[in-house]
Amino acid sequence: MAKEEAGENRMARSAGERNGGIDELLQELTYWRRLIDPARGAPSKSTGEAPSRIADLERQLENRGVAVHWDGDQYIRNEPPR
Amino acid sequence: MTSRFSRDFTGIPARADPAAANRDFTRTHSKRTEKRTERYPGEEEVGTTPGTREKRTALGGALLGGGIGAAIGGGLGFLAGGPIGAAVGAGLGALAGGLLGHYITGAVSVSDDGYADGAADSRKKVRFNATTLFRDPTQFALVNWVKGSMLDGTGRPFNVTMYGATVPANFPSYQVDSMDTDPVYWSTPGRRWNFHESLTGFWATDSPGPALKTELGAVYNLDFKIGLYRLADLPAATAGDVGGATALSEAPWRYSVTVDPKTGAFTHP
Repeated sequence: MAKEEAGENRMARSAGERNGGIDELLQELTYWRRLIDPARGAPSKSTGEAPSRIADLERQLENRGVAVHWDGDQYIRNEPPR
Repeated sequence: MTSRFSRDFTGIPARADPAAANRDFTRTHSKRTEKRTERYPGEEEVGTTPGTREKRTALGGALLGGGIGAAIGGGLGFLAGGPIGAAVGAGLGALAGGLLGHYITGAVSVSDDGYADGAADSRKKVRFNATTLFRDPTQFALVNWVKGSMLDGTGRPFNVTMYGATVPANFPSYQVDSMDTDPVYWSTPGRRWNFHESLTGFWATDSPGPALKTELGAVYNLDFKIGLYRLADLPAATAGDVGGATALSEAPWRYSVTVDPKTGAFTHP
């Protein structure tokens, strides 16, 4: 991993930690997903704010080793494999 | 369905009361907002409106940096190569100093601005890089502006969400691009500032569209400009503008895709 990228990830992690934990990331992810959810009557197109933030939050969760799924109403943490 | 999330995060309807969101934000960030009374290099209180002050602050930063750079460069150049060296050194110093002054004031740039054309869609994931250097990045914010349209193969605009409402994606002049009523990019009901800090400031991304191969004849023609603002200057809610706030720096970018009416092939005029 490049030095700059490592530093950036460290900064991103620290910002995420300051902004809250995994539950807060899940809440925000749910907020943005609802905004573009066709099942809630949202348009299929976007100027990009929500999709980019969703991808960003999913990446943050992935970096923390958290797998999630959308259950139609909210994002839920996947159960760990037995 | 009542859940932990729906209790804490009410989604779109909550944005009908932007004042409530702002109250939350103010509670969280009031210390940062109120504490700042000092001045920075090149910044002077010359205007009565925030916009005037910001314009002169930006110009002042660059000029001050350029002047200092010219003096240092000229002095070093004279020592190294006499008068000619002084002149060259002053020029280079002014350039470097001006750039440094500009970035000290605050600047925004765009990167990763290419298209990813796949078998099914054409996407872009652009990145906004705000440079605030030694200043608290949370004192600044990005506002995205949009102009243009996204039209289907019959020439009708697609719909998008803007300020909490569904509207046709047809914007004849630049207006704030925000899904909720807060003009700050990536803002949420509980928190205005959701950017990622970097070594030199902060960053965010954007990903419009996407254009689909199946949308034969569709034309996506959106002009954007991302602006860096002082957060305290931005209104809590927008209907398309930011009042008297003026960008410290702006960077243009585009999302331009046409879908061939017969083959579905993507082009980017």
